[in-house]
Amino acid sequence: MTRRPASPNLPPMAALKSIEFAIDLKSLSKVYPNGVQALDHLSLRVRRGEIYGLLGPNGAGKSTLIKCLTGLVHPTACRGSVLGFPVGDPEVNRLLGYLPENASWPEHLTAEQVLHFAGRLHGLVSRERTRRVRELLLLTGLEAWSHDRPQHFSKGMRQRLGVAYALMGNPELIFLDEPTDGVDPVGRKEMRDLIRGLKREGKTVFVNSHLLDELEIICDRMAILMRGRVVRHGSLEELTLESCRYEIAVVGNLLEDPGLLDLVQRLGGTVALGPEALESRIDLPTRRPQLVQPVIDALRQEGYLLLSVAPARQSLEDLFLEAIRSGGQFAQREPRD
Amino acid sequence: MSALFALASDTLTLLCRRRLFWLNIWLSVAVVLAVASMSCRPDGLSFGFGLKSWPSSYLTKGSPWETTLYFGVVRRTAQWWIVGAAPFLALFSMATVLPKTLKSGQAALVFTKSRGRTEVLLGRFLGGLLFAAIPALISAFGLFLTLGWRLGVWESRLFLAVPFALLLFAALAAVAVLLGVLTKSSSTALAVTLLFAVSVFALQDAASRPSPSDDENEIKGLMHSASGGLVALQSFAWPLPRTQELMEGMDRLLGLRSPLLFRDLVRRWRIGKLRVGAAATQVLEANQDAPAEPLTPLKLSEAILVTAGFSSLTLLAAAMLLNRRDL
Repeated sequence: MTRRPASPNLPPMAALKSIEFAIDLKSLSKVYPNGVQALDHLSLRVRRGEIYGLLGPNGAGKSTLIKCLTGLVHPTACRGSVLGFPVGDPEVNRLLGYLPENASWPEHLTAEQVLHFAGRLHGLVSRERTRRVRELLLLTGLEAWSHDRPQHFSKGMRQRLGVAYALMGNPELIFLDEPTDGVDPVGRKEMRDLIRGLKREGKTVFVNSHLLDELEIICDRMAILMRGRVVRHGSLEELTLESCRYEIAVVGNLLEDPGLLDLVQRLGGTVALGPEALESRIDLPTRRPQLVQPVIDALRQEGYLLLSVAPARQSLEDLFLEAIRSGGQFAQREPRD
Repeated sequence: MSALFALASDTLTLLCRRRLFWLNIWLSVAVVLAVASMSCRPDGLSFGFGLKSWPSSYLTKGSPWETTLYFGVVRRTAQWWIVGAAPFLALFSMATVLPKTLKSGQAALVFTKSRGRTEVLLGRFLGGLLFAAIPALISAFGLFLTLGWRLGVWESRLFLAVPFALLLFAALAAVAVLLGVLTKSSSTALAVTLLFAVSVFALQDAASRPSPSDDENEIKGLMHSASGGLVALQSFAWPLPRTQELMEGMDRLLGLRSPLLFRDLVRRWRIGKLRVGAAATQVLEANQDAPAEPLTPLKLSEAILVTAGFSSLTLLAAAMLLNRRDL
């Protein structure tokens, strides 16, 4: 269970040590005034210090979820907390960093001034602010453009400035909405390193991206959002393990062997013939090797030559596409640790 | 508190980068220079630092009319420019600030870093006030120097025009902020605020006229209905910014009184044989129903409190609305 820090005046780290989950949502709903239900009793738990990825097609409610968590949008109904504070409590803002998807940078400020502005909003004193601005410009590789205005920046540079802006004030929980959007491959690598560095510092990073390979590489755990509900969540291993199958390749036509065919079908599997009916492929929808063993025993007993026995995992992309194809018909999974 | 000042100073920087700011500044300088360029010489009046002169037998250097002229012009400049036109110009820039802040790309940056939406609203509002104060201060300082230079009168009470200008500006800016939160549209906020400002000035002008007495109305029925209408008008105008009373109150507080009336000076104005001044004052006096009721200190205090209260309540409504809506 999460619990609110004893007092908002406590130093954040001292108060935060008692919190297990950076985000703990038991039920979050948002219905916009036009009747659109963006979030539907959404449940989600993000541990402190992990990198959590959020996947979902357009209109799934990803941005609304981040906006609810950062206090920009008021939930219609909510049971849950962010860093121990009730969702929407402005007090939590000093512990949050947020890189919005389409940040509109002030036209009258240079990159350095933008960061100073963020620091002043955070209440950093002049010396501390100047030090932090230098650090962040260096970290994001923008020190050479610190005196330029962001509207003259490329998309990638604006994203990097956005990350620097989000990190101003040394937040505990950082929301990154499409952080690598428009960033070149070298920049993406740097961004990944930066996110990993944040994790090493004990920060919690919540990444919203449609770049599945990026999420696969950096996230500890992730969730797939569909129609305002979490339809899949867990670590990459857990997610793909759920859809793990075993493939057995043998020489011969198993379709002509009713005994074996019956056994495979009883285990929920299928048999397909290879080219010229010389080879058969058994597909068993299980992640437990023990359930594969009877089939292997039967094959050996009947004298079939085994070519291969291998677990076949779905890629994140397959999993995501399957979730989309099913139109969010998965039951919402209850949050678990 | 530091976040509030950060927002205010950011707003001020943002507004000062706009062309309208410089237009306001240059117009303020031009107005002051126009006043300063007037001078009385032994043979009459000159404008444009001596570029154009009008010979006069009475408006000469050291004559009592010289003081009347300067005091009259400076008082009207303070009323019409510092408290009247300059805040209006500032409003054009100010009205666009909050709607832009509420656009999703910027709202996400600003509101997630601040500790509350009210803080953002107040910071933006405070920055707008500082912005409006700049041309008012420049104009007041310019007029202060002009009076000192031309007449040797160093009247520091001229700076009282600045708080009066800000009081009126605050009322209009609060309306612009409320409309900005309500509509998120810069143009709608500006247009409706300007309409509101013009309506309030007209309404307060109408409401400030005294009630007709029995002697002034020949038809009793008409008098009764006119009087009833005026009472209704005054009731309606009561909680609105007291533009007329504030203008008059500021004029009194400036303390620029000369033994001769500025109106009499204008009446004497001729171009060749044409008595322009007399015609002008006749027209003005014909349009004036009756002298307004004198403004007592109590009435002025009420006007200040009502105007400040109007601004505060409007801002409070804007803050409540902002705190309820999605960004």
